[in-house]
Amino acid sequence: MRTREPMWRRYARFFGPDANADVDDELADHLARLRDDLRARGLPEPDVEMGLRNRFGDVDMVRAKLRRDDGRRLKRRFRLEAVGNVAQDVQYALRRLRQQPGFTATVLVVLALGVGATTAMFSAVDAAMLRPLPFKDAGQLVLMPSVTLPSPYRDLTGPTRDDFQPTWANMRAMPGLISGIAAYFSTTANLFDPERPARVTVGHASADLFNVLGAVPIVGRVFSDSEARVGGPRLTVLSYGFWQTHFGGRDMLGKAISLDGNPFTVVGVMRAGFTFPDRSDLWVPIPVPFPPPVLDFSRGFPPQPNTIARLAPGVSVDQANARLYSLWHADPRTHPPAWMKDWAQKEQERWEQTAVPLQQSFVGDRRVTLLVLLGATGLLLLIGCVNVTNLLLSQAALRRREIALRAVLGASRGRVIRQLLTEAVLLSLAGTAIGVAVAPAAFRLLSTVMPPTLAGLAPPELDFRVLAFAAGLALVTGIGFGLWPAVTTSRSDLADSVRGAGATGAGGQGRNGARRVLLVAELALTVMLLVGAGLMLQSFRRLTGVRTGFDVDHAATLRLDFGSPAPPTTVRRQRIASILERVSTAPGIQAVAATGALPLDAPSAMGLGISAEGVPDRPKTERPRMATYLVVSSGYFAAMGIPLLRGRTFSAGDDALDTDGASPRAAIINRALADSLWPGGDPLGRWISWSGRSAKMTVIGVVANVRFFGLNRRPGPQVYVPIEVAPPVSVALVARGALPPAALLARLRDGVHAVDPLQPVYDVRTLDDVVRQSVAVPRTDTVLIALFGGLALVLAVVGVYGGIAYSVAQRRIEFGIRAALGATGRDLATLASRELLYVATVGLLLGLTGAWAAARLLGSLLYGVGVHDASTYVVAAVVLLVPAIVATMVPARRAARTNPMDVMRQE
Amino acid sequence: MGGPVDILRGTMDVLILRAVSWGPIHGYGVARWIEGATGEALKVEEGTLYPALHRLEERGLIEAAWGLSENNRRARFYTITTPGRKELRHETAAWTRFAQAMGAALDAPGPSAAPAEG
Repeated sequence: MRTREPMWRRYARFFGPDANADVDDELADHLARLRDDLRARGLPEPDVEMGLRNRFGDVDMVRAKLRRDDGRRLKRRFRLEAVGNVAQDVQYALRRLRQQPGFTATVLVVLALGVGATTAMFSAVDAAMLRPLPFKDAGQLVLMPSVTLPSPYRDLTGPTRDDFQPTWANMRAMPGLISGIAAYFSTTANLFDPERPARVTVGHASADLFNVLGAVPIVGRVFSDSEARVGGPRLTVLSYGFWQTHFGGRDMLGKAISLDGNPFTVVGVMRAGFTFPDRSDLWVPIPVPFPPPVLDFSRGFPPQPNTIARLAPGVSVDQANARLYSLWHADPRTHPPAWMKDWAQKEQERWEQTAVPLQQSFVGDRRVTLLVLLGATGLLLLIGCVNVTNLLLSQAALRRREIALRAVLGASRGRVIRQLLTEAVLLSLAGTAIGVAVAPAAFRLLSTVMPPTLAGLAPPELDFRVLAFAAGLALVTGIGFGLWPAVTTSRSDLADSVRGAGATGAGGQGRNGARRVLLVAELALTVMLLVGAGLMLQSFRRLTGVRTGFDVDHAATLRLDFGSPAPPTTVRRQRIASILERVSTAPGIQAVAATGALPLDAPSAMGLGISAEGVPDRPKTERPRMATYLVVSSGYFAAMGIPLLRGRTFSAGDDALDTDGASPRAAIINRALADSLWPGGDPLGRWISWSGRSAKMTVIGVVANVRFFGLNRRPGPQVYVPIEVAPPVSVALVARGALPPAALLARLRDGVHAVDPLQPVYDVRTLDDVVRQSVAVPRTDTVLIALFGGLALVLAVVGVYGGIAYSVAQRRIEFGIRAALGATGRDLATLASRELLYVATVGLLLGLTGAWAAARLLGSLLYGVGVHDASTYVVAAVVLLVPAIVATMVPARRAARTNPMDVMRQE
Repeated sequence: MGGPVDILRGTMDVLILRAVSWGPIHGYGVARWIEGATGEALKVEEGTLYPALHRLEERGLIEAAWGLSENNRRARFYTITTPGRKELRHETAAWTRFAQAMGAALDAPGPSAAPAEG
């Protein structure tokens, strides 16, 4: 009874089961039989149709119901089947991956490194330099250097520049273009706190600053417009960090704190993480209009308020500039009068750029480093992807036979591709997941390497966009190249593959070529990174190997500032003397001294023109001879460990002032100055003078050169004069003694507080730290690039191992035959590693050439080593080559042990 | 006994299982068997057989295969599966019990014969 359907019926269902057609057929069959039956009973035709209806019911209704129900069932069954298949695929894939632990682990490690390390590195770079400022919609924030705070004093005699360019008031009146404008600057001040005197960074903020930056207080409030005026109440808002560390987070609202002797009432605490500008500990209001600050010559120029604005939503910086320019250019009233044309001409360009993106002004001179580090990040990610690609390609080639066999046994192309896709997805997902899991840990590790002073405005934070990008790239690479064998195999001749042509190498030439190219690319990129890392390391070694000129051991330093307004000169002189006397008599102190500016401490020492006895002044058209002017107490050279080369150091009486009331009678010069003024001569007893002054200072001693402005800067000419002549407002104390640093510092602190218990001290550290911190930036750059190089090296070695291991596996038959024909193990090993030799040579040459060309980028970051330092290039090549050769040994030895009988049996 | 009664809900499945239990049979055959076996006492609207057949197939109680009928039309043949047989046994037993219980109840004397409560 069960007969087979005719062939053509199969084609009717060629595109899969068709529920509707089945229903129609089944019902048609039933109705036909029923009709035949009724006819056979001899019913007349009209009665037949009635009988049909009677017995069967409503055909259309039944058909509709069946079609609906069956269609639904079919769909459900498909879905179930698909799920079942996927489960089966996953199971099979897991089994396969477990069967090749080496391959699986390698791909996982590479993917994890690629994703995790790249993200961590990028986030570190990003935190140091690149991060969008941690403000709400930071892209809308701009600086407006040409727009200044209104001044309460109006020049009554004529037009001012503000009449011809956008002003503060103008900006506030353009809500469609600018949604807010504010001013800020920062100073430092002494916090008079009986328990914990501190030097604090004070952010000066116009009332709108917090609003413009989108910063809200977590406690209390910020300043109002009516409070930020001349003569307004003295209010302050604390930063969260300072509130926590200094006040222990206790309730401060309404309490007064004393800044440089003035009481300020705390009205709020800012949210955590907001410290703009310059890591402010607290903020005070800037009065608007802003009176010009009183000049305090002991401190140099007062800080100028900067103007920051928020562009209205949707307005770009270019649009804002164009609009402002056209507004001010279109109005004849804002055209400067003829006599101001020169100024107007000069200002023209600045007008066209009223608004400068905030981000741009903060990245500044770190651009080169940024570029280098970002380049390195990109290279690393690239190497990772190339590596995975290569591993998967190798794997793919090995599987050609298996896949071809499955195809021959009846697996559809879709089925095979789905199986391979499952494997690729599993592998990529697992590797990427590990990478994502590793990224935060790697990042925390990196954060400890990064000095906090470098971490820019934003606290370091893992960048999830980058993580997503790296993970996405890894997934695409993994899946894309995991599918490769299915795609190529289904195209090629199955029979060929099964016979083994693919496995012996004859058929896989094209793919081997692709593999080699990738390996070459990987090695080349790695060499480039290694050369970069080598140059940076070399440079850093040279930099830290530089002789500073002073003795960093057993010496410590701290700073104090007499506050603002500064006490009179006589008071400062007296206090410095008292402190030095106190400390010098403390046990364990060998020497103690005071100075205005420590070497390598980002000093802002003055350079002055000088004249000297017997040395003709330079013509007016040339730059005058310059020397750095330093004030030091008599024990300075002993405390710093700077050798006295000739003569003597300061003693009592040297601080007597000349008739001009500003110059001392005696000075000590450094060797650089002595050599430039009187080469070969004896400077002792000769005079020098500041250009334009008549007072002559007698040279009483010559001291060794000291690196002052940076380890990478050659020592320049220096003149030391007694500190009593011009006691600075901000003083650095240095103590030397055979005590632990903490004890040494305690002596210094005690000395200061014995004289003034409320005097805050800061920058408390050893001299060694001073030097170390002066190279914090190059150290971070070096550590980062070295890490990039190291990671790239690991990836490259893994890649080489994978490549050679693959090639050995692929050539098993060949090796077996050669062994059978009498090749020794050594011959086979050589044969196996010959491919590496070829690939490595090309890769190294390309990489070294690339590095040679790209090294110029590093130029400005290097010290004491040329960008084309040959030895570094050689070392980089060796560093890559040695582990690569070791990585080759493992598969090569496997090749050497090839037993012909085993091969024959297996094949 | 008067005219044919409408088939009871839930009884159709048992009848179909019984019908297919003898070997492959198409829907029309099932209709004819029910008609004959019940002495035409049960009225089956034949169209309603098919949803029931397909539902049983979905539940795995019967299997269907396309075949060719005597006059060369595509016809769908149903056979019972092992779970189907089990179900049939179970349902048959249940029906028998039900019918006996119903019979006993309908033959039982009225409530007035019961002893009166105090």
